[in-house]
Amino acid sequence: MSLTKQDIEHVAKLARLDLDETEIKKFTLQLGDILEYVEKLQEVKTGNTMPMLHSLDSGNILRSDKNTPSIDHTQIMKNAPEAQGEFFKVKKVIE
Amino acid sequence: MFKVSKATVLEITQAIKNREVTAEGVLDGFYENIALKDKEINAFIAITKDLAYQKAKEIDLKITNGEKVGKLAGVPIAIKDNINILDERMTCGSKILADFKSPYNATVIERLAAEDAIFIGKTNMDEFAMGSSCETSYFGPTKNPVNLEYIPGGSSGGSAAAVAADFAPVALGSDTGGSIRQPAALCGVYGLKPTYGAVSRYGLTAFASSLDQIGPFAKSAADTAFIFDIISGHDIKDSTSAELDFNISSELENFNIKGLKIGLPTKFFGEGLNREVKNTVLAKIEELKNKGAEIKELEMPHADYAIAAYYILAPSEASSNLSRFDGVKYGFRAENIKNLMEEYTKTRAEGFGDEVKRRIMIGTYALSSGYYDAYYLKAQKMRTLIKEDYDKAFEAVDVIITPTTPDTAFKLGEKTGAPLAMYLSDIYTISINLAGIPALSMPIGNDSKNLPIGMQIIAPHFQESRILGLASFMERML
Repeated sequence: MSLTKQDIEHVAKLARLDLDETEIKKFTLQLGDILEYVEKLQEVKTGNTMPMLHSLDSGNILRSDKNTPSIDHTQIMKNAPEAQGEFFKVKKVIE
Repeated sequence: MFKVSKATVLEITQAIKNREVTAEGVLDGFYENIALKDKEINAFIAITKDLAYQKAKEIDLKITNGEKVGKLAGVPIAIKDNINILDERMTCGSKILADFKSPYNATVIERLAAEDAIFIGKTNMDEFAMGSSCETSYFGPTKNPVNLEYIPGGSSGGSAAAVAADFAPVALGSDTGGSIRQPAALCGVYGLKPTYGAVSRYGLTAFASSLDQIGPFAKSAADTAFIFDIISGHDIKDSTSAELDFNISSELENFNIKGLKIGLPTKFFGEGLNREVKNTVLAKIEELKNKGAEIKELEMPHADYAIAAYYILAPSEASSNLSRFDGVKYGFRAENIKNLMEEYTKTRAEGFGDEVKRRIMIGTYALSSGYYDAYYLKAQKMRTLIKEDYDKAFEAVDVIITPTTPDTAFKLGEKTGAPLAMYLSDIYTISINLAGIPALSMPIGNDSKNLPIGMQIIAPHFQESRILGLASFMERML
């Protein structure tokens, strides 16, 4: 399956990746190759087969709904690229 | 004097308890090896010396005072750098987390610490565990300790190399499509991918959540079982962890080879398999047959589709999991940005490496509007068929044996330009993650270039004891 430059630009936008021209060119070819390879899945009729979401039959094992201490707020904020008081700081959202 | 380098976990804990050596002395020995050889091998991204010596001193004090110590008292363990250790660096081999420090401990870390294990350092890995050669790390490739011109395998290449180079007797890695077993095979050590759900994933940075499992690297079947027993079992912080307790160390001796039914999938021994690897594995199987095992050939009709299904499913899950790296709450943030959107797109463009971007792109494409049914849903249905192949096989046999890899280690740089060729090096390991079953790679010899050959033993869900029972039998009897 061949992809166009426009396909790659569209997907990059969805993925929030600012790719440069060299990358776009390279990924157009490489993703095309990979998609061509996975195309072989179409050889197998899978009509009524149930899709597999999970390898275990047990489903989710939930803990009881009790209050327990969680990670300290200041501990979390240590990794913030930019912070103001208790908040993460980012560029203005509404121009 | 007690020689630490080649010592097993059991030998170290006994020597410490008998006061032949102190925990600090053991640590000195391993750090000496690291100082001597790791500049070249590059198995570690970070050395956790302060934490390690603090713990060693605690253990030595407990022993001096005659207090009880844990089962791993004084045993150094290397930890893959996608597992959180409180207040230590965790980079996942990526620029985007180059300065990140963990705000909490992973459950496996809590469990090892409770048994007085010592964390010696964080090991190198393919960026976000995406790769099969350890070459996609932002911190440079790890080299294979057996021969420095060769790759150690990946993604847990640093952990495999650390054990092979005597930097630690045991290590933890993670395995999404072969990332423990493939480097274990290429470096000549043991590596176990447990059943999905056997080991808590809490504190493991998610790559593909329905496939990821943490597991041990070691130099013997007994050590592998010993570490597995400690890290496994239910964890309320991981809703996919099974409500089971494991104590397989005590069961290894009960293993009986007489009448054990071993399955050989013919497709795993066909085209593309290196002749020396094939012959070495088949020779081992012949020996097992002579000891009383029954050999059966298996068809596994959907085996050829595992890689195609995996390279839809794993990148799809990854594209979703990695959306959290946006420069807002932690990690690298790009400079000179104009608005919030640029903050995301430039941070991710500058912070992620080539392979990670490629997988995010594949996953985003497969999940995008109009393609979901053709790719993601189709791959999930194939996953069912692959699991059913294994279910059916295990009605007829007790274990399945295959080579771990189609070839021994390749040279650095040999496959970096060809992503698809790199993906195909995981051809024998990937379907096991899709089915969620356990598998071990154990070293069984070397090829004519003196590079290690690994053999893979696969069992049904939660039958780790059968795998390690067989591996331990082979160590003792063959």
